[in-house]
Amino acid sequence: MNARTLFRAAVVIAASAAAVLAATSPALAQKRDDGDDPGQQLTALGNLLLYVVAPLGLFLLISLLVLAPSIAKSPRYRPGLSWWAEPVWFGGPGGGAPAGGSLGVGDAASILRTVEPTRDGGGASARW
Amino acid sequence: MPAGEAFSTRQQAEIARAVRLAEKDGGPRFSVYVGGLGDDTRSQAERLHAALGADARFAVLVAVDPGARRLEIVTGAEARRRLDDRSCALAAASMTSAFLAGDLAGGIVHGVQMLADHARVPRTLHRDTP
Repeated sequence: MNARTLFRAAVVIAASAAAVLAATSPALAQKRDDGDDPGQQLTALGNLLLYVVAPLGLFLLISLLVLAPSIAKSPRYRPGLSWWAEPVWFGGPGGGAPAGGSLGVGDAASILRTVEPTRDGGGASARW
Repeated sequence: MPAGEAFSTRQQAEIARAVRLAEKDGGPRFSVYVGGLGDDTRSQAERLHAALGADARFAVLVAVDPGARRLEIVTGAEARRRLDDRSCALAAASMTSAFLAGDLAGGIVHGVQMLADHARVPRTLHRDTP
């Protein structure tokens, strides 16, 4: 950022601040209007509660409401990310109902070691 | 990624139901494996298929490796007569497009249904029923 850009930025900021300050001159007037009732001043604690704690609380509450569903749900598959779950085999060896039992890693490994692969079959391969 | 189940209970039920329906009406035996397949995915899938035992000749195995993003469909020698490789490739294309969109369970369910539709021999009047 060169000096020229900095200068332009400073001018823009000063000009906009001046416009705002000029518009607030009635609010800064020392004399009260008739029927003017400014009420009690806020204490420092009240200020803090009203302008810091309450907005932060609302921010946190809304963030929580937005994020809650995805926190509650279990992780789902997304292409490109690593796979985290145990192997599952629906209608696997052993017969019975195709319940989709979770398969221990040791089970799969022992099956894969002891069995000769099917060579006379067909099928298809794909990747994504 | 945290450890956990691959599918929710409902998704498991849907896949199990698709497998059950695919085997109805004289369809071949179906089996769906979701998990790691190692480096040589094709050969591992063929081993898993052979592990189905005596049924392997009549069985169709759908093996999905989500980590390696590989899909293998293995048909036994007898099942292949009903479910040719072109139909398998068609189902595989449909499944991978669903996987690409992140829908693992839906792709499997739909793919198994497609395979079952291709493998099913339609009942014909005067041949199956007098």
